[in-house]
Amino acid sequence: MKKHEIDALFNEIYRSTYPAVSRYVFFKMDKIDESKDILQNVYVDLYHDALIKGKKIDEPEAYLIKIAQNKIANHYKKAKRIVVQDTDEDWVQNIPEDSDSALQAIQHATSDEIWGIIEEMDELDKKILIARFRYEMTFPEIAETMAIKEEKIKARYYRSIKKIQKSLNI
Amino acid sequence: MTKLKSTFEENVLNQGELLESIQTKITAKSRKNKIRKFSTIAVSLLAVFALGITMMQMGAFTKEAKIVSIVAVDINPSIELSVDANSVVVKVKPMNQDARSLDYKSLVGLSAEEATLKIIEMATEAGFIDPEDLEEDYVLVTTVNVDDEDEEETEELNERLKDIIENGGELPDVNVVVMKAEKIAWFEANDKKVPLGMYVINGMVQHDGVWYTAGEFFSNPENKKNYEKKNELLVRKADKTIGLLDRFLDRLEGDDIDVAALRTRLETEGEDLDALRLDIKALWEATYGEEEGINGNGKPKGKPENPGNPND
Repeated sequence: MKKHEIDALFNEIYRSTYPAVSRYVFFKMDKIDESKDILQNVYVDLYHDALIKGKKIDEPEAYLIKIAQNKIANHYKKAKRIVVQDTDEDWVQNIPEDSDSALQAIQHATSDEIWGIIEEMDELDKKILIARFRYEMTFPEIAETMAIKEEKIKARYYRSIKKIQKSLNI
Repeated sequence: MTKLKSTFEENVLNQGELLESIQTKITAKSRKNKIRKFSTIAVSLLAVFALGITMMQMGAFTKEAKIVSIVAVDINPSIELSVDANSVVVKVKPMNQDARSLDYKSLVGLSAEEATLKIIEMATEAGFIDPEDLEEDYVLVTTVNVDDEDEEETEELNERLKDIIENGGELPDVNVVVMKAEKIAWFEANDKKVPLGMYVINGMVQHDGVWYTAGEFFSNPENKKNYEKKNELLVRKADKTIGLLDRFLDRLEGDDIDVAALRTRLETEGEDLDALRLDIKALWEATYGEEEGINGNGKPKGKPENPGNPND
């Protein structure tokens, strides 16, 4: 295959597989920066080890997730893993009110303002918000993926939304 | 699309940004693979040649390449200049995405003073500073001494920066604050991924984990008064002139908005122009929305609401 054909195929595979592969890697890694590195390397390997060599790939998504699994396993062999734990025992009592009005208010803030607040949040809260808004997952899906009770996920989610609203003074 | 969704798509594993970095890595790896194909002798010769050039360069510039000061310029965008003993910029680090959109590489080789003025010029051209709106723009210039053996160069650089900015007639109508920071603050700011200028400013006030922008900090008259007097931080004050406020009132009047009271205040000697500016701004935004500029073409591209975050 010529280079422009390889590039076109790569772009097509990237576009079609990115949502699922990025979601997979995101939930397996502790930090967003680490997810980014793994994702980059997964797609670079796709290009150099498969496409350039003319390898036929029937299920690109499964293929890429397999590469990601290997890279993640290697990463944690070398690095000391920091486990994001939920240490909040009072979640039952602390579920705040519904967040619709808070979400409405947040609409008026800028992305920079919102992201500045989110960046400072606990890793677990960040992950829940990303799962909800970036990957549009339901609470049951998030709970299952992260192996945390749904009620806890909801409590942390609602508290985070309120925190954003409060930090924006709106 | 909700604001939260778009925020996350922009900042978390951004598909477009990641593709760019992947393509860069692919190209780099391709080049690497091609180089391996050369014969051993050719590669060795290339390596010896490259080593020779590097050694020559190191020999020629050893003294000047030592970094003695850091100059952090935070507007948004945020850029860090590494400066040698001759006050020449030897390295430039864009600290956020908006900084990467400027021609920051052209700053290498300039004097620290020239580079600082050029950053302000580029930010104005790109729309990050708009002298024609009612917002108070702030530029934070922070110097850090990184040479443990000698602080004098950095002290003198700080003074020269204050001088050139205070007397810089070509600068746009913008407030400029010149500060000093200790090396530890610079490390901490980088660690927290906060622009150094913002980190220093926020160190001056109590806050509950909420970071103040320079505009927010200085919009409190108490802060402004105390720090202007105590630390002579604000070396250049924007003068959102009566003429500019007048033009905004003309436009409102042209659309049959009652500005009589505001007009009277503008014409009154001794009127608090800061307070008047804020009142005109409030009426303007209530009438036309936040995005409308004086020329009716919307806010200039790239005008953010807050200083950015490094590593955006």
